[in-house]
Parts: sequence; C-alpha cells; structure tokens
Amino acid sequence: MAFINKSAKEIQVKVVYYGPGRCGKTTNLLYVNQKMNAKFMGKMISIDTRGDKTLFFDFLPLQLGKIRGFNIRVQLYTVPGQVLYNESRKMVLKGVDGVVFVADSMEVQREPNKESLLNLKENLAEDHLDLDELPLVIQLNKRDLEGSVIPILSQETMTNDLHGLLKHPVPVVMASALQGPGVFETLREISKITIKSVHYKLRS
Amino acid sequence: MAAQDVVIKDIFGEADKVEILGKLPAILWAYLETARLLVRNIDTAPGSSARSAKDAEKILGILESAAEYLGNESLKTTLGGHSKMLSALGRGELSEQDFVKTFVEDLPRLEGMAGPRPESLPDPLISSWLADQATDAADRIRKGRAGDLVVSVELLDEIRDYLAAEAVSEGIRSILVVDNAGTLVINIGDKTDLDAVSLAAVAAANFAATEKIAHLIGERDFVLLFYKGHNESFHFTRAGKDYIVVTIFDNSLSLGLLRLKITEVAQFLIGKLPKREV
Repeated sequence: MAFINKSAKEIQVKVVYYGPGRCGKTTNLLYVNQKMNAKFMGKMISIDTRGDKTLFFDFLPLQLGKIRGFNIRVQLYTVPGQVLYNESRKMVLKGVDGVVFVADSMEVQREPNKESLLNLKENLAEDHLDLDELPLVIQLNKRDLEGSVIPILSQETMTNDLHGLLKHPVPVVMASALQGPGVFETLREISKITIKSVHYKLRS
Repeated sequence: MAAQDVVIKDIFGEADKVEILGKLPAILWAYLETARLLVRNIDTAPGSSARSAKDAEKILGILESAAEYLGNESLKTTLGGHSKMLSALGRGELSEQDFVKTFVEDLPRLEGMAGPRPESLPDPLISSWLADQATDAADRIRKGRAGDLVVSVELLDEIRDYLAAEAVSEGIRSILVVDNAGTLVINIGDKTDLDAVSLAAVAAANFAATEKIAHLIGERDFVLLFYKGHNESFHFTRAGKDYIVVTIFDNSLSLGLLRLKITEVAQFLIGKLPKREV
C-alpha cells in the first residue's frame, strides 16, 4: 500500500524481493547499496543469522527522483528464503506495492523456484492480494554461471516454468547479482511498473 | 504434560549445497590463480613451493566436495589427479620440474570447466577467510551434516527433565528453547495447540529485529524483552550467544519471580547446550 504524503509531496512505495533460499535477494540489495550514490540512499539494515542467511529482512530506502513534483521514495525489502521462515515472509509482504521474484538459474533449483512462486501467491492471497494484479518482475539470477561446469536452466525453460504459474506474462530480466549486470535493470523495471500502478490507482 | 522436542535437523543442508555449487566457478578460478602462482614460484625460486602448494591443496579440498555433490565425473577425476600430484610434491616423491610439466598441461581443461573468467577475482590467493568459510561448509557437506548445532537425544532428555522439574510450574505455560536462526530446540509445556515451529522462527526474527533497534539508538541489546497479553504474556531472554529462551506464562505469575526462574534456566542451558561450530 503506497503512502502518499501530499503536504510533503512525497510518494513512498514498498518493493519486496522474493525467491527461494540462496537465490541472491540480499546480494541484489547489497549491489545497489554499493553502487548507488549515497546521497539518494538511506542506511541498509540487514537482520540475518551469523551464517549470512536473512533471518527477517533486509531493508534499503532509496530516492528515485521526481514525478509530477512528487518525490519518489522506494523501500526495498527482502524476505528470508528458507521454507522455515514463512511467517516472517508474510509479515514482510504486508502492504507490498511491487515484487521482484528472484529465480535461481541453477538446474537443482528448478523445483524450489516454482515452489517459491506458488508460496508467494499463497501468502499474498492471505493478505487479499492477487499476484496476477500486482506489479511483478522476474529476475533470472546467477547467469554468470553460464558456460561453467554447473548446469543451469535456459532462459526459455525458466520463463515457461514461471509464466506457467501466472495469468499474464511479466517482464523478465537476466542478471548476475554478484557481478552486477541486470541488477539496476530489474530495479528500474519494477520501479517503473510499481509507480505506474500506484499512479493508476490514484487516478481511479 | 505434553512435551515435544525436535532434534535440530539439517534445515540448512540444502541451502549450503546450493551456495557451494553457485560459488564453484569462482572457487575454480581462485584455484587456477593459486595454481599458476605455484608454477611461477617454482620457476622463479625452486624449492619454495611448500606454502603455495598448501594454499592450492586447501582450495582443492573444497572443490573436491563440491564436485562430488555435482556428480561431475570428469571434474572429480581431474581434481583427484591434482590432489595426488600435490601430495607427491609435498612428500618429495615428485620433482618440481616433473610436477610443473604435468600440472600446466591440465590447467586449460579446468579453465574450460570454470566458464567465463569473472572480472574481479576475490584475491589472487583467495582470501583465507573465504577459504576457511568454504572449507567448513564443504566439510559439513562431506560429512552429510550441514546443521550448525548438534544436540544429542540424551542431552535433550536431560534438559527437558530439568525444565519440567524446575521451571514448568504454576503459571508458566510453555518454555521454548530456540537457536539464533529460529530453529526449535526444545518445546515443553501444556500448550499443545501451539504452532511451535513457526513461533520459534518468528520469535528469533523478532529478537534479532529488537536488537537492531537497540543498535540504532546506540544500545548493545535490550536486557529484558517482555510482551504483556490480555491473558498470557511472553518473556524473551538470551542463553549465551546462540540460544533464546521464550517463556509463555499466565498473567497471575509475577514478572519478577519469572525473571528469577528464567535467569537460572538460562545459566543451566549455557552450561549444557553446545556452542555453534562455525
């Protein structure tokens, strides 16, 4: 649920990075945190275990310029990926405006990707939100493994798998969160469609 | 009284494997860098190969377990060959010149398996921290046990008996011992309808979140975490670095008495429960 402050001329939206454990959600945020100008960014907060797994969420507030005189603030959140933390995921998802689904390109993660997308759908439904109505971008992460000894899934297989679970196709971005390609493209894409949807909701 | 205990399961096992597989190409490149450095060392200063050979062997150990999980026979064979060569070199059974000759021939093949070279490598000699971490994870995977904490059934029984006798008394409904990552170690008490697994995960997340709040205002942590409900209340406390004790109690019990009891329990648990290995 976007927060619009008319007196401060500010729109705040919440974007959540979702996906199976170890797919690179936190790495996405870390990359943004490293590369973006500190002037447009707040402090990144990470609540993780000592094993570097996200325990609750990571949080990174960003300022993304102005639209029609309104300052756009985007708050990026990640969820813990491990199956065990479903209740925490539900909490982080509350009031979400847009979702980036980070899918793991490794072949062994084919089923976990699908399970995680279904889990997202269920958790949103509990909050009376419909995944097919929500701004969503799919990021195919770990593309840097291509050409190495690790078997990875083709773009086509992954897109078919994930689009098969959705009513309409959504934007798909190829990325390597560790090296950087695709991270800002994903952020740009999700910001664009999220703000568009908030704007549309405002008008109606 | 219904007591339910859960031996810590390998909940992160799969995650560790996924992580090590994802890192395999990067580790392969780090190994190749180390291997080339070793060859250079032998070329420039014969007789000084011991140290870089040790570094290479260390990374090789990680790679071998990753290759085993991957099930790639050709990678396994290549790495096995390197391992033999390196130990023969270490024992002095293989001369440095012979070693370099066979070793160098093999490197391009490994490069092919590592895929495109990343723009930035962690360090020519992969930082020892990364190597140690990865070795630990690889070791745990090799032994088929990736959970960080192992609590024996005997110890669980002992703790459960202690908690039942000393702590679960009038007023205290339930005690949960949870590790930092939200894994339920012990759940004891008469609240049978409790979804203890979810409660444990959320309680750990909540505890970590309040610690972050403490950091933001310049405190190390909050000493007392207490939530008062209409009929029942929650009390959270740390037991050492790795565990959190969650107590659910009736509002008829005084908070002071509860804190006294739980402090004793926490002390007992610190003495008994194993520390995290990693």
